[in-house]
Amino acid sequence: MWIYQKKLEYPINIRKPDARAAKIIMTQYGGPDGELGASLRYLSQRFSMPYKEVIGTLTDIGTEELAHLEMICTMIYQLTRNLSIEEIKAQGFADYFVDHTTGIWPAAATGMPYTSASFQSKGDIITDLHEDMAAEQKARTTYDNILRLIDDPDIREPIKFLREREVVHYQRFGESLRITQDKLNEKNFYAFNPSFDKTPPAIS
Amino acid sequence: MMPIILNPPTGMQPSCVTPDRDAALRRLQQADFALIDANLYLDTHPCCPNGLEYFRCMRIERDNALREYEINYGPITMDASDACTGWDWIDRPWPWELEA
Repeated sequence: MWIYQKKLEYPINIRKPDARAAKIIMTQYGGPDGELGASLRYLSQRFSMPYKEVIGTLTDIGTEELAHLEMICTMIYQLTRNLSIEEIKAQGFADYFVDHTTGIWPAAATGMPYTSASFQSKGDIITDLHEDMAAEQKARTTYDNILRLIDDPDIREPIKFLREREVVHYQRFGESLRITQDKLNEKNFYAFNPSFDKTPPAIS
Repeated sequence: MMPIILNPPTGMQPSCVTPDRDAALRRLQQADFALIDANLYLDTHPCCPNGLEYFRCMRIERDNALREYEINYGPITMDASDACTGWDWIDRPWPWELEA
């Protein structure tokens, strides 16, 4: 189970509202490579993991992703404060506003609602860890793209922190994959799913 | 240099499943649930003296139950690992693994 901590993982104080930036950043809440999907992916996959190191890694990274989606939501909240109707229209926010006012709702930048169709939980440790490494790189690319689009240092600093965490998570998942492969038949890592198959095939 | 052992093991390995561990876990779960439920009550009754007293009382029980469990069976949260003889945070059983 979980306990909520009444603080952010990294400080966020955005002084200048910017609804256009909010719509871009929102994709890291409910988009295909966002923090919500990341957290649910890892916290779902861990149940079928055979090795304690990997269970721990998925639990702890899945938990940290919850702190990251809180950071993203905080940024969206601060970027959409005190907007006039004229600003909402001028900053391309009217389509979001008509459905949600300035409430926080998980969707991609394109408006596609959050969906678990953007991730897998396959019940195979090698398959899942490759997905996890790819997911961290996709999120890192998204943060790179956000940094290409946004100049405000109040926004850039927490985004740069989140980007760095994707790199660290990629490293830890790579180590998890290496730990897994060390425990399997080195002549054929893919002959046997230790999450499901009861006995490994004989080494020939 | 000898490592400093903050929580010396009392003979039971953290991954051992025993009636004692089961009882310690049940005690912690009950005390924790009392706090969780009191929390929700106090969110909407923030000035209720009886509710506040109940919370303070159950917090003592939860803290005692948590300390007893962690000393004997390992960390409930990662920051409770003694981090001396190894990273016991990842030791089995994880909560979804069968306890017996």
